[in-house]
Amino acid sequence: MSFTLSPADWQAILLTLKLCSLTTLILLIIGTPLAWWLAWGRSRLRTAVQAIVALPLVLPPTVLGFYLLMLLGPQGAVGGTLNQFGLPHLAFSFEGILVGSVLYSMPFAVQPLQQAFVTLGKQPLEVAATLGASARDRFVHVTLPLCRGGFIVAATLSFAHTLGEFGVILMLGGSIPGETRVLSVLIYDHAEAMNYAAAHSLSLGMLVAAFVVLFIVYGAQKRFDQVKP
Amino acid sequence: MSLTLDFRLPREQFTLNANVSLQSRGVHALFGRSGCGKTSLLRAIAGLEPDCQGQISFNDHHWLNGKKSLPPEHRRLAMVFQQPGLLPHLGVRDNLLFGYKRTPPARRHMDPDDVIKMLDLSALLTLRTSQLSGGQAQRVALGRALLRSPELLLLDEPLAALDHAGKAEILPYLLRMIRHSRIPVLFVSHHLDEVVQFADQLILMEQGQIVSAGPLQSQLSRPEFARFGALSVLACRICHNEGAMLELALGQQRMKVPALPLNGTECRLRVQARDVSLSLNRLQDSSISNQLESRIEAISPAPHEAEVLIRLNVEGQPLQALITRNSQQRLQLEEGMRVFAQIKAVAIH
Repeated sequence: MSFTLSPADWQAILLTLKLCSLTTLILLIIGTPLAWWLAWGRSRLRTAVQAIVALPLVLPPTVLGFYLLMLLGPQGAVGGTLNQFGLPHLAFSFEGILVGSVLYSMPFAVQPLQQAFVTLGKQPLEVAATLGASARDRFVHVTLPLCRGGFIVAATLSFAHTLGEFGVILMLGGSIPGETRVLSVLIYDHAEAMNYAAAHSLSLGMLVAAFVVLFIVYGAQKRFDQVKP
Repeated sequence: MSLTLDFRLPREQFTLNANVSLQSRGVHALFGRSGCGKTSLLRAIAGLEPDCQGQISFNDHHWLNGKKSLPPEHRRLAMVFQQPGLLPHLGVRDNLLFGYKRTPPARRHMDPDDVIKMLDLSALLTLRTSQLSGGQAQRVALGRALLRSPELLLLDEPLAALDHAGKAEILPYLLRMIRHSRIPVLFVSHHLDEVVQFADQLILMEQGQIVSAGPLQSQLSRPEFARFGALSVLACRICHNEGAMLELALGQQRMKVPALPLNGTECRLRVQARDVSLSLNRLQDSSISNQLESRIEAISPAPHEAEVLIRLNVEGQPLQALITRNSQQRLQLEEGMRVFAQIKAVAIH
């Protein structure tokens, strides 16, 4: 078997990296306040929201993909509204699988962050507040440095989990080259077409990449646990 | 300073009701049993309790008005917690300057070099926080709070988490800080011994309510304090501080107590009520050499039914004696009588 990559393979690799990077970025931006609220909020809705965030951990990806297809497609509440405003609906598009990835990987960003915030505790922030640090100042100079292990874990797990996404993308995005045909889908296509050599080289690459990412995660966890007070 | 509190804060066990106005400078001690709401009260003043409702105003600034609360970072105060709470990702120096850097230069009235000298921190500056002992860490926390240049300093049992050696190490610094910085202090403690070392004013709390507030000496003679182990504090002038004994003057009367390394010209004596005995005449052949001529002001029941608590007036200062009812009857002690009080006193600062 040869390990050469075709242009279609490269296109899928780049698309996958783009999807994973954007998903990770979006998850850090919306996951941080959400995790904060779950850690320290006082609303009764917290338990419900916590359960919703964790749903992708237990649901078959096809269920999530199916409902997203209903919601984001031309007949769905979101897709239909977009169409009314002259915008394209989100089924079978990169934007659609990006939305799917964000929801699908959300627990992998929110849970490590929430855990890091709870472990940090309120005291360092209360100390900083009584010393004159504003909320933003406290986040940048207290939360961020003391929870950096949590942020690294959240980012790498979001990235890695999106890398391994298959069911949601297949349901919601299909297999459109350059748009929704990410690595996992392409490997499936190769295997369906009995092109085992191509499937093998991509699979092996993903295996190695996944190992490296997890190695970084666990290394970071060990290292930053020691910095904790 | 003027701190006016009138707010409610619901707790699990009770509702904290604070209604008091503190007007004088110096050290106000908030005293009460564990769990009576002292810490919550202090946290509410700092702005760390989001559920409180009412009024908190400090020197014409409204810190709390109804539900509208000024965030802690905008209240001109600093707080020292039971745990030092040093930020572990910063070194000692950066911890010390954390609040200083966040204080506009025009409002700074504490200088880092002075504070480092006052609290003896120069040897610690380059260390990591994990290298400090408990007492050292709390000293850094005190310095950090001072360098915020607060107009009110809140101390939440700053000695509680320390062992005996740690307490002994930090006490002189705490005293020095309180005297030299001249910042009004609100101090929480459930140790009467600690309170009498520092406090000028004493506030008693029970079950979330403020029971009484007033100057230290008169507060200590209130009946509510008897069950915490009645004691008195005498303010004395230092006549001689050389050799092993310290010679003190209380009005016209003289006393000698074992010496302490003290600065200044005044000192406080802590006298437990059970360490005071009374006689009708000055004793010539007793091992106790400190005898104070005094007048009986009041006789009240003590927590134990066989005892009575006698309130004396020594040169205008209150002094309490705990004696048995038998002795009272034998000596026929009554209000207004002139007696001699033999005391075992401990100089506290």
